[in-house]
Amino acid sequence: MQADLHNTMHQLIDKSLVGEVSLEEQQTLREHLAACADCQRYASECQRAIAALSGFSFATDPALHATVNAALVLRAQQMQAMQPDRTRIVVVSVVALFLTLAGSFGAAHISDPLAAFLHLPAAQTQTGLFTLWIIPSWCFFLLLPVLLLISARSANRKGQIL
Amino acid sequence: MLECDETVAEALTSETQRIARGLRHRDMALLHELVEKYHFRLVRYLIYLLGRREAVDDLVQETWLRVLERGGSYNGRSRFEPWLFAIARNLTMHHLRKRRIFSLDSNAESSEHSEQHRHLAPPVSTAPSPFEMAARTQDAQRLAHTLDQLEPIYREALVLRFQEDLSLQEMSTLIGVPLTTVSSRIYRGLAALRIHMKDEEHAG
Repeated sequence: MQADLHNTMHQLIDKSLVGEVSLEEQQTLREHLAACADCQRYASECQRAIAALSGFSFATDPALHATVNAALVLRAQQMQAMQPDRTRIVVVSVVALFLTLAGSFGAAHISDPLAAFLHLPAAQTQTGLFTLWIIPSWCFFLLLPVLLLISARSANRKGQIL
Repeated sequence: MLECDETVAEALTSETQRIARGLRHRDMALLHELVEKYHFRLVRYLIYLLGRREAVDDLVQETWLRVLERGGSYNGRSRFEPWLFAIARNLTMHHLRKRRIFSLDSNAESSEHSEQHRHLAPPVSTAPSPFEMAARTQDAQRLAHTLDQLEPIYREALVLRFQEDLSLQEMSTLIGVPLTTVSSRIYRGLAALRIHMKDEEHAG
């Protein structure tokens, strides 16, 4: 019976060291510890083991610190270089927009002469130009910035684990 | 007392927010500050995790590079330390898997449920362990051998709880195991230390 009580108190001591004990349990433990030498010894052994963990002083290589900082600077520069250049994206997008607009405008104007030259109905020629020229050029234009961003991101993540 | 707690919590939040903001903007001054502040603790955590000195320096460097690359994923709503240690832990797991020494997780399973996989523990070396070399007090010298022999999962639990002062919840998230498993690892680690310390004392 006494052994059971000690075991319970030892478990409570463990719990209190881990930080899982309630206020009520804390009170019970305090009262028991005040009167029980065995449990006092157990608590003191645990405390000493925990305190001993602070007695380790791991030497760190002073050069490592500098190496890490240098590696960080280098990696930051590499990442910066791999970042998509916003100005370049804007210029490319504007040029693509201009070409797309000009192409669409031109395609709309040449549909009638083209229909006459090919002896095809005007509506059919217009549909053909619209499907084969205007829609693909607009799709390409809209995809351009997305493709640039995706390619920059994949370059950034290359070789990463996490 | 409550006001004091609130002040501390506010200071902590503003500090973590500052770190999150700096990492998002890849602020190099902040990164150097963090390296300075957490260097020793990171080295210590990795030594406890690996039980040896080799590869620690490389892992430290890799960890900081990941912090730079993935800094945007730290939201500043929780403490920085668990996030940093989680990166270090993942890299260590990857390193161990790559070298096929052992898996910390499979080791965790084995050591908690069976004794038959004890051979998965790190190879025993005749050179002094990092714990023996780092012991500065008599009690630490007594513990050095035990720590060396202890399963990495228990060493990790001990350092995170008693040296890094992480909460059980933080540890559970970091290690990726339930709270009960975290507690159980701490109890077992602590029991091993206490028993060995007592034995050594009696032997001495």
